[in-house]
Amino acid sequence: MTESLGKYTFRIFRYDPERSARPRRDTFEMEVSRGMTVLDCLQAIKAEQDGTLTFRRSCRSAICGSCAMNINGKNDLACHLQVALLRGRRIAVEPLPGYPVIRDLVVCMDEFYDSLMRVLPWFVRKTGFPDRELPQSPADRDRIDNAVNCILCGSCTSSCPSFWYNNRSIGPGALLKAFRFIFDSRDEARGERLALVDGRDGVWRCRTVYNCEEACPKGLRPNEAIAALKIAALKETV
Amino acid sequence: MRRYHYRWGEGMWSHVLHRVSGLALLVYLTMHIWVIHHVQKGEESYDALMRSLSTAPFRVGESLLLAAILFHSINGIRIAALDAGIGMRNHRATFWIVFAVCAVLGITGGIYLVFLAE
Ligand code: FES
Repeated sequence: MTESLGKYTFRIFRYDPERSARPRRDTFEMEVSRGMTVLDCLQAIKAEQDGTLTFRRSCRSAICGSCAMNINGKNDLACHLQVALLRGRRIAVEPLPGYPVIRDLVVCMDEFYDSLMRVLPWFVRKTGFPDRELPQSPADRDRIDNAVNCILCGSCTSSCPSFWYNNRSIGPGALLKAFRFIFDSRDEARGERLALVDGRDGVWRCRTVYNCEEACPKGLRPNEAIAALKIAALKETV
Repeated sequence: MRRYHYRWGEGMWSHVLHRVSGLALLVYLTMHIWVIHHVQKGEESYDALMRSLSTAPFRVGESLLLAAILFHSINGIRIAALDAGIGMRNHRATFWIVFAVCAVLGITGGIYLVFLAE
């Protein structure tokens, strides 16, 4: 038997537009043992206390990005965050801020995906592809190391006040993706992409609040990518 | 509108205080122009206005103005540095440094403005 951590109270955001237009918060108590993640608790609550509790999850190993939510005021992956790491015995679980809520903890991610599409999130090669692989030096690979591990969970963009104020702003998630290609030594659409992120909805919407740095569950730093893009945009598009 | 319960970090405080102090400076500059335009109305009118501006409430207002100028300018340098990619890893610490410098200068200046200035 794993060690018990005692009773925890979960205060969970509930919203079911078919029943009521107003969201509410439901409270659940449960016994938590060491090693349990927030997602484990949500699954237990759904199985044992309220089968209507709705949330997204798939891989349960912090790689698919579907279980991102706001836990105790900070965005994180529910399957990655262990309850033992949280301070206090009351845990507030809310859907990701900034996106429209569909039901309970499930949000509509369309705005996030649309923002990604705006930075051309694919590899562009105008001079054609060689017959074999396209090699890259370890130093060139290191340059984009910050960005290739993104799992598109949407936590960063959802934590960004510039995105809350204006959902036309591209947001840190898509800007990190833009960085990933703009600074990839093999990509050949640097100019177009830089022009896309240089607009008023792009890097200049960043107000250096840096919620995104803390929000990223993979420890990436979208804020540093944005700073690099600001400098590149100034140097190369003026 | 959904209420967001996002945890406030140093970046949030920096952003909101910067916005608020910026708006305060905008209001002040407008008032300042209005005050200065009394110069062309003659010495008497200007002196009378100046007298009413050295009463206690305006002195307190002046020290708040000082606080806004200090924060907006010093934090502005910090933000410009961050935009240039300088000090990104220490952005929390630099916020507190800016805050401490503003507090020391602001309180000293405020005491002078409210109690000691002619
Ligand atoms: S369930 Fe896949 S990231 Fe959490």
